[in-house]
Amino acid sequence: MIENIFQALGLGFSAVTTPENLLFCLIGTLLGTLIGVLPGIGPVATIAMLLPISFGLKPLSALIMLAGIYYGAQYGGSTTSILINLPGEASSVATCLDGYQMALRGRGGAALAVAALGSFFAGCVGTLLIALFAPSLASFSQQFSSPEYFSLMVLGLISAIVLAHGSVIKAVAMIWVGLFLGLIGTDVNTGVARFTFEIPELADGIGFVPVAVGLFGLSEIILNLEREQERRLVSSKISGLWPTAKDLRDSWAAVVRGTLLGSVLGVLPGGGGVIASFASYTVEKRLAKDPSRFGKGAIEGVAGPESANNAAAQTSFIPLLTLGIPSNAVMALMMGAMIIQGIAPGPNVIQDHPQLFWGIITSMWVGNLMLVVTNLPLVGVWVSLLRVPYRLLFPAILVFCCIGVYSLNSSAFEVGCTIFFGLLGYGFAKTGCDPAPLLLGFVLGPLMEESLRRAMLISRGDPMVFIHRPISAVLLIASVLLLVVLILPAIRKKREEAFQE
Amino acid sequence: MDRRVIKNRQDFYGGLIFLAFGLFGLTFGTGYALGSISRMGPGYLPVVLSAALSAVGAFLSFRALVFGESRIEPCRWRPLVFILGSILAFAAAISRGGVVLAVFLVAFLSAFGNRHARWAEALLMAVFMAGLTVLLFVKLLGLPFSVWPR
Repeated sequence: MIENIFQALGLGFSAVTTPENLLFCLIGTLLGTLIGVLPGIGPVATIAMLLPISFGLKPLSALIMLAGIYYGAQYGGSTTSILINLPGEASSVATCLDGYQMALRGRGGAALAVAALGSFFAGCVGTLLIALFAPSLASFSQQFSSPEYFSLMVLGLISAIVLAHGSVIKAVAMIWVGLFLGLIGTDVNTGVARFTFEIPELADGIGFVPVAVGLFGLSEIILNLEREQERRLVSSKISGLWPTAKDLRDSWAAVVRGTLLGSVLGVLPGGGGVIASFASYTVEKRLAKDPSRFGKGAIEGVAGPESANNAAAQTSFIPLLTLGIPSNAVMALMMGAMIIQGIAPGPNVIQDHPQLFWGIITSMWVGNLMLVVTNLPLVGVWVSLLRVPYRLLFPAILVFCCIGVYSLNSSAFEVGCTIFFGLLGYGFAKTGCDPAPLLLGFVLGPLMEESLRRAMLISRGDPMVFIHRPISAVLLIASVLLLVVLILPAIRKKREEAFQE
Repeated sequence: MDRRVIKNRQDFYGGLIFLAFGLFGLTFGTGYALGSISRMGPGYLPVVLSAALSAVGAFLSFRALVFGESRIEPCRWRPLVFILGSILAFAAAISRGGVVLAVFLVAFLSAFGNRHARWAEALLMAVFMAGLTVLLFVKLLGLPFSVWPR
């Protein structure tokens, strides 16, 4: 079996190491670092904007680039967290706590280096884990039919609630809104046009890109302009990029623990970098001999969360590549990219497109290597980018949003849709509703309806079919347990604390 | 609405958004065939979801009148109007006006979403973005845009 994996990884390497694919891998990771550094624009909006541009590329090149944006953003986010106490991404919030304190004490260079090396280690392990487990998971999921898929999606959506900010009930409602919006358009079974109001552009449903760009990109820009936050550069001087031997001794265990924790949390539906980095920070603080050092520049508090979020970014590809179910908003976008490229995400990808499958996986390792090599020397460049004032930055971002949405179908209507979703996203932000569950529901809406209908057709309308089939029953029990755990007051309090930090 | 009546303003207005979606779905969704649970029609799931959304929205809003406490960050009209307006200008201009005009409009107008916008800077930025777009997207990536107004 090990031999097979090496053979498969070799296939992936040969697919990735063409000049073209290496170039797109580099472009993706650099872009990812860029948006990770710049606050106010996240990987979701960026990938959504670049989706249309990636259509012209070959499927593998496109997916390599988009994946690079995702894990590159994790690297970039840590840079600004450490140097100016400003997390470019939500998944680097935990890094701020101790990374910034290290920078204040003149140890910003060491923090950056440990973060990068820890992320690289996590990336390597994550890649290996995908190679080890993805094939068996994919063949296991061959047994899945519509009831199992429906239950799996239920589990995925409930997990999305765990990750969402704010109250549980609002997150549930956001999922419903997403599912509802996903159902707009022509019904596949009957051909009836639903909620289209004779608008031809709506016949195929609301576009995925306008929803993502509007909810995540536009509303964020408007909110940033309202708040008019000024960015302060505290430690522009980075002295001593290399960590001392003591730093490495102190942090290697945290890196290993963070990697393992992140890998596990990444695979779970709804998992991702955010929850992994917080979990790792909590674990490190618990295990430390002297917890009072945390918050005052403990290097483990940087090494653990940074490794965890990168590992989770990597392994969160597993559900998408093996089951065809996206586990978070970025994976939902990757799924959109695959479908548009004519590849149905799911258990068949490994068999039908082995080069693509192993190519994506090995590209993550290559990309992580590129990130370490390019990031540490380029820290100065990234930091100087923060000197570009926001008033020059946001019009440029808006232009890219418009071009991205329009070039998808050359449709001015979809640009108009973006305005609607920008307004909606603004309203949700004001009322404390996190839009991430909505996006996941929106992507899964049509799939869920299809599998629910088919399951009900097979069972002649007996909902017990979901419980009589063992895999489906296990998935549903897991969902119920998760929901119960969420509602329990003790854990709810903890979750609120995590998001407040 | 008296200011003191609504204690939990975030939940109240959030609930109203959900209620709006629910009522929208119920109004237009009941026209589609519902079918039965074993043979779901096109209207089945939309109506179920809309009913659920209406219920949750109403519940949230009512509960917010009594329980909890939250306020909504003050809204400013300026970013909202200029950002969304600039995109609207892009959408209106792109089909017939070409990409140069459309990009110029979105970059120029959006700059005024910032209170401290300067005319000269916004103008310069808009011209620069229009040039960059043509170079990057039309010349380099070969996207099929018409460059100038038709």
